[in-house]
Amino acid sequence: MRRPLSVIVVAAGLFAAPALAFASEGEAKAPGTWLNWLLSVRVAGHPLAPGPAWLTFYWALLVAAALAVASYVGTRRLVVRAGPRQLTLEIFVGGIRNLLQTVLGDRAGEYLPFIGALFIYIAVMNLLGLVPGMVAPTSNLNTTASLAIISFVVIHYTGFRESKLGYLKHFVEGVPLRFSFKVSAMLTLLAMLPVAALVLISHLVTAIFLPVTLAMRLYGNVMGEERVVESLIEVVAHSMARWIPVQLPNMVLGVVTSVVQAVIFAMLTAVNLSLVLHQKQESEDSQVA
Amino acid sequence: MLYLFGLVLAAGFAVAIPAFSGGLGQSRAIAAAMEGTARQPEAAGRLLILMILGLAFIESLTIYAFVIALQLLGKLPETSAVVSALGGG
Repeated sequence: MRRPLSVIVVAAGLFAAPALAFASEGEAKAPGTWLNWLLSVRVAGHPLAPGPAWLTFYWALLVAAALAVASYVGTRRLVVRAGPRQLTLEIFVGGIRNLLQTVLGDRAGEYLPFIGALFIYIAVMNLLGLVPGMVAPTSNLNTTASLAIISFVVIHYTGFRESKLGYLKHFVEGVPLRFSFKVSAMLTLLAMLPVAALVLISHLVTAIFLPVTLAMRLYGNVMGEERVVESLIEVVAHSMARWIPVQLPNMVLGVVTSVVQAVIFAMLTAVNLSLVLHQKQESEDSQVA
Repeated sequence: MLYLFGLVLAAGFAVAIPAFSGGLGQSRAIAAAMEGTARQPEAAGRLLILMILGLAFIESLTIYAFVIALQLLGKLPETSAVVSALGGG
């Protein structure tokens, strides 16, 4: 991945997550997790976790650190004839790369680190919610909104890098705005201006709507899964049947939806990236058989 | 009191109507995928992936409505407060 892109991704992420966690203090319930002791830690007079929402933030940081360490350890001493550990990692990376190639084509290699990391990070975060004692960081709108902001920034940064200032013409696509010194051409241009304004508004709304939909879809799915498990446990918790794990079938379904939602997030980001990239058209391959 | 009535009614319908229409939309997607698999059983894997993708998109609309319903329900007072406001019981 080109270096400025990775810097942009890291900067967007570092900025977005704490900013959003500041914005939502005083939420109702604190989940019971292994990091709950952070709620009472103070550093130089300031609490590390001013509200329960910050717990998911620290869990997200923990997951990111754990994945970074695991990836570093897993990629030491790569050999051509690989053992099982390296082969497992290769299966994951190869699978994501194949999926990405159907969307991005030739340029899959450039964006594989970003999209792959996004997918693995979101999948692990979602699955973490199903482990007792841990909470899914994506069950908080702050985490999902941060991820959506990162996707938004990367997509539009890529658009500007691809087409420089021509990216702005992308927002009035489809409207024939041609300037020449003939009267007819200038009248057409004048007539096309309101059309261009409407097209511009609709493209801007779509561009703003994309991170909103990404964030809300992921948040709704993961939080809904947690709520369902919580409600099921609450049904039996105060009766004689409290030892029966009635929430298990839902948790099995939760494994599937966690991975599917990670795929959806990564694929939507990839599809929007492909829309702003200039791709070489190959006439035979682009026909659907 | 009308405010609380409106809140609860809205929260109830906010989940019911999108669930109904989401179910209809998803049933069309699943039916198309099943028909495609019946015609060409070897395409089952690809069709499954596309079906799951399409289902997740349709489901996200239901999820948006669910999130709004939850926020509406969050504005309801505690039952004890409502009972004491109604005059005890």
